[in-house]
Amino acid sequence: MNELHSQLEGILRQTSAWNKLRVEITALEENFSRQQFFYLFAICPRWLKSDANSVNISAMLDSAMFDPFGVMTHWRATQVARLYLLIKLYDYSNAVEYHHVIDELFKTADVNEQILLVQSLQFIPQAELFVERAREAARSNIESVFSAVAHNTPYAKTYFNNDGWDQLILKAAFLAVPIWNIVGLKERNNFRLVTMLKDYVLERQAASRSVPWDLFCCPGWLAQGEEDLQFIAGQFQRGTLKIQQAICLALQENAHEPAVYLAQQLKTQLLNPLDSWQAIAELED
Amino acid sequence: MFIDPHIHMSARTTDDYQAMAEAGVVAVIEPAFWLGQPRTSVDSYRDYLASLVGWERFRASQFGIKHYCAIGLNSKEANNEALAEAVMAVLPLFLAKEGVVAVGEIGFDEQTALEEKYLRLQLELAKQFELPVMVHTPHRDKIKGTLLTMDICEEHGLDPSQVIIDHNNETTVKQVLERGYWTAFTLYPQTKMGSERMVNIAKEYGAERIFIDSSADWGVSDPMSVPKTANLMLNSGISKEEVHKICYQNALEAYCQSGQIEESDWQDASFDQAELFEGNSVLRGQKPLKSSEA
Ligand SMILES: [Zn+2]
Repeated sequence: MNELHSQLEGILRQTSAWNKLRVEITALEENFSRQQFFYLFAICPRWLKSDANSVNISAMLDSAMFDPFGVMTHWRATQVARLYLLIKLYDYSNAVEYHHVIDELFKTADVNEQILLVQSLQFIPQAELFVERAREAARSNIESVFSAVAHNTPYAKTYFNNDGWDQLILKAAFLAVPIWNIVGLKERNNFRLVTMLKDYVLERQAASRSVPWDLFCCPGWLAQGEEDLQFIAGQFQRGTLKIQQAICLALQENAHEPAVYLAQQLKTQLLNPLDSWQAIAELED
Repeated sequence: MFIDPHIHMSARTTDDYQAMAEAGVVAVIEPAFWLGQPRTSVDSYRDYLASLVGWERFRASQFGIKHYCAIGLNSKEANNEALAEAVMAVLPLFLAKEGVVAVGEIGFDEQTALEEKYLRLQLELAKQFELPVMVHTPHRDKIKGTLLTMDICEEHGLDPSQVIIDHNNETTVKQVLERGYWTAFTLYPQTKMGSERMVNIAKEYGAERIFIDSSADWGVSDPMSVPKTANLMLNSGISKEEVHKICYQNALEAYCQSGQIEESDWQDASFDQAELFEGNSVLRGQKPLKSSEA
C-alpha cells in the first residue's frame, strides 16, 4: 500500500462509515465485481454525509508531500473515500479492468463525481491512460469540471499535447476563469497560443466585450518584435487597471530587452506597480 | 415556493428555467422517460441517464433551481427486451448517486407481459436501494392499469407510502388515496387533466397525500402549470396551507424518503457554492445566476 493511500485510510478511519466501508472493501478484495465497485463509489456521499464537517483533512494529511497543489484541502470525507477506492482498485484488479472501470465511472458520472475523477488524476496510478477524459473536462462548459483540470493540478501540464494545452488556456479565457494560476502556464507558453489569444482579444473588442486581464500574461511573456510590442502597448492604453498591471509584470518577466524596456516605460503610468500575479488577482476590477 | 416533482427539463429551453425560477419554482424532479422515439441501444440510454445527473443538473443550477431525478426503464422501452435487459444492468450504476430521489418513472403503457416483468424487477431495485417509486399510470385503460400497478407493488412488499402514483384523474383518485398511496396529478394544458379540474379535485379530496406536477416535456405542455394552478386554487378559495401542501410540501415529503432531497438544499444559499462550484471561490465573470441574487 502506498503512503498516500495509508494517509487517506487514516482519515477514513475517523469517520462513522469506516466499518461499513471496510467490510465492503474487504469483500471486493476477495471477490471483485464491477457492479459492487460502482455501487460503492456512488454511495459514498450517502454513507459519509454525517462526516461532512467533522473530519479535518488538512490537519491529517501531509499536504506538502501528497497534495502540493492543495486540492484535498477543499475536500470532504466523500472525496477522500472515492480517491481511496480508485487507488484500491488498482491493487485488486488487472490493468485492463482498472482502465475499463474508471472509464465507465467517467461515462456515468454526476457533476460531483466528474469533478472528483478529474481532480484525482494527479494522484492515481497510470494517470496517462485518462488523458482523453481530461481533454473532455477541458471542453466542459461546467466551470467546476473545467476548473478540476485547469486548476491546482499538474496533470494538463504533464500529459496534454500542444493542441490540448492551447485549447485549455483559450477555453479558460472563454469561460472567464483564472488563467494566471494554471500550473505550467509559463513553461508551456508558445507562439501559436499567443496568436490565438490575440485573435480572441480582437474579436472580443470588436464586439465591445471585456477581456480577462490575465490573458495578457501569455503575449506579454513572449513579446519580441516591434509588432508584438505595439500590440501590447496598445492594449495597455485601452486596458483596465488590472490589465495594465498584468502587461507590466509580464513584460518585466520577458527575457527580451526591448520588452523589459517597454515595461519600465509603462510602469511610470502606474501609481503602484505590483510585482506578483497573486497581488494583481486580488485587485478590485 | 413551488416544487415541480415531475418535469422533463432536458426537453425544455432556458427560457422555461428562467420563467419557472421567477414564478417561485425552487426544485424540480426529472424522471427518466422516453424521448418521443425509441432508443436503439443501451449506450444512448446510458448517456441520457448520465445527462440527468450531469449536464441537466448544472443547467438548472444556473437559474437557481435545484434539479433532482428519478432513474428507471420506462414502460414503452420495456417492450424491447434486448434493450431492456441491457438497461437493467446499468440502472444500479445510477440509483445510488446523489440527487437520485426515486426509481421512475416506471409502470404500464400497453400493459404487456414485458412491461410487467420490468416493473417487477424495478420494484425490487427500489427496495434494494431504499428509494421511493414514481409510477407512470397508462393513458389508455387507466383504471385497470392503475389498480394492477398497486396490486403488484403490494405483492412485492412495498409500503404505499413509498410509492407515488402519477397521472391520476377523477376516475382513479379515490381508490389510490384510499389505499394509502401518494396521489399525483399531471396538469395538461389542453387535454386530460386541466387546472380547473384540479381545483375541483382539491375541493373534494383536500390536500392529504395529493400533489401536482407539469410533466412538461417535448410535447405540448406547460412548465408553468404548477405555479399557475396554485394561483387558480388560491383564487378559488382553497386555503394557503392546502395549496402549499399540494404544490410543495407533499412532494417534498414523498421524495425526501430517499434521503437525497431536503429543504436546506435550496434554502441554504451556500449549497451550490459548496457542491457544484466547489473550490472555485476565485472564479469570476459569467457567474451563474443564483436564486439569492435574482
Ligand atoms: Zn413523465
